[in-house]
Amino acid sequence: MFGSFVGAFRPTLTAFGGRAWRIPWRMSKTRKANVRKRLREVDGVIDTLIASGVQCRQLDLIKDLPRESEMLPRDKYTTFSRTAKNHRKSVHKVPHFTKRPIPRTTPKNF
Amino acid sequence: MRRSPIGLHPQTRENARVLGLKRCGHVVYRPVTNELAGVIIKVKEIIKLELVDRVDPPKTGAPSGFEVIGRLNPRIAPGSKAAKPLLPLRTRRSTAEN
Repeated sequence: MFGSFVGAFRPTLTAFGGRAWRIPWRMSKTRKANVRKRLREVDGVIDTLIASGVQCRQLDLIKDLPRESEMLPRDKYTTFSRTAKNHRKSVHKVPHFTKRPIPRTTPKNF
Repeated sequence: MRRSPIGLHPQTRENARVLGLKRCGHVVYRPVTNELAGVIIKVKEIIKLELVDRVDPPKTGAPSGFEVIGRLNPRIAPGSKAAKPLLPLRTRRSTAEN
């Protein structure tokens, strides 16, 4: 995969000079599409819980959150960050972001 | 369970364990209760949820191969709780968690 610019050297991670662990600052279209797909799946779980008719305080808190179609792209693909510039960073920089709950709304005034 | 709980908060992993989900792709059937709803919400990112009308998975056409005609232990009364099979069929609506 990285053999093109390594040349005659053994393709070890050391020989790549740190280029093997580069993380792009933005997500590709497919990655974003998968983020949307996962958000819709969580929407489906919440819809199933509402349809089952349970009474749950946590359900009352999350059922009013925006659905995937109502979310801003900014909220779908970036999250609040205390340390990053403009207090925003791309969501793919959050460890295990594919299976961790990511807030759907921005903190107030950010 | 659609996604593995590896790397998630220990409490989230505990919630998945409490639901009975042991591995990826594991399907469990649970009754619809308010308490379990809260547990499900904690693991909503890694599961798929469906409402079903039965608690046991559909039985195949094969018979179980045995029939209980009597019990060796005479202290178990016929109508008591201990005499019931371990997995009773429930008719309440239940959720299937994958």
